Amino acid sequence: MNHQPYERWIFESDSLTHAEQEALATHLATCKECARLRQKWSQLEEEALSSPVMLAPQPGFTRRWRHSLIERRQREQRRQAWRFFLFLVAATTLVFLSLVCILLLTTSPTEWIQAAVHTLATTASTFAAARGLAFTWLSLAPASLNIIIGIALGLSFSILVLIWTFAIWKTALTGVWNR
Amino acid sequence: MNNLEAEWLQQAIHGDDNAFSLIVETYQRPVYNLCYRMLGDPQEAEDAAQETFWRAYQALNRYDQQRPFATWLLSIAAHYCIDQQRKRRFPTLALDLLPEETIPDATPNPEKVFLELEHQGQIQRLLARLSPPDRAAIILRYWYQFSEEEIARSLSLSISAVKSRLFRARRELAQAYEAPAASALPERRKNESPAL
Ligand SMILES: [Zn+2]
Repeated sequence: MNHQPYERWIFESDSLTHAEQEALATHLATCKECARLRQKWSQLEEEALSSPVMLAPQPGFTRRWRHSLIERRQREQRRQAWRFFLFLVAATTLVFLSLVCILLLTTSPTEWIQAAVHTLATTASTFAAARGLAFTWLSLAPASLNIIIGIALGLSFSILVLIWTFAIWKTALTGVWNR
Repeated sequence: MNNLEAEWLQQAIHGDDNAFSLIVETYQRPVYNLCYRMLGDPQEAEDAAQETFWRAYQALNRYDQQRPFATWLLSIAAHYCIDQQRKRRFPTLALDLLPEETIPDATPNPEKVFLELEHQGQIQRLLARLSPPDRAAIILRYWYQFSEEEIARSLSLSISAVKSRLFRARRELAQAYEAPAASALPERRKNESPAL
């Protein structure tokens, strides 16, 4: 026996037209299967679904929420810091790789070797020249001035290192993009 | 949502964590109940409810204020629970671990408490037969009195998809339902609060 559309109508009894209701009643009178389904459905609706129980969590849900909020926020900040560093690393690698690619495309390996040898040679001679210059300066300038310049150089270098360390520590602790 | 809750919501949107805690306090029960009905385990339901509030907290500035807040919150919970169930390889239902709150507070009769537990267990067993989206549709329809349009919006489905899911789920439930003996059915709590 074909149970459609009656089977569907059993569950939509509220929205049926008068004619549909009559047709359903006629079908139910002759079809045991649909009649049984209809009976079970009305029982279920009445006994279990008409006033369903709302379960509550264990007491202290909001307190647990406050605790988990602190933890989740810290976790999220760490994750953001990591994402930021990975992004920086990826961007640097990408720039470096594209430079290498451009070099490979525009120049030949022989030119590379020549350039490398040339750079090494000039670096060595430049270094020697700079050392000569520094020695000349040291022997000519008064000792007090040399000490002051030394301290100034050392200090600015330490400050740079300090700022760098602080920036990394801060980002790791608080995240990059705060809500 | 009353005026006070609307005010909390505004404060929470502007970054007031205490205001958001008040929202959690207000909506913990409907959210937890949805998660419990979806997952069938008190601990998983607790975790899912906490996760729901965290997701809502993070997405608060994207909340469309034309939409009822409860509907939005429950939609987050439903989506999360459906995803959880899909990730699970073996669906589990810890029926003997119903939360304490299942037991009506003012029932001195232990037999009645047991029957109520049995009854809730039966409801959970019935719900467990359904696929997660079908289950979510049924829960939103009967526990929260959502219209078909609201269910469609909450579960990101078309209205015709909701209709066919509801039909399939109702038929499945009716076929599986074994009516308890008349005496075994516990009296419903008289002052049962409505869903929201
Ligand atoms: Zn039939």
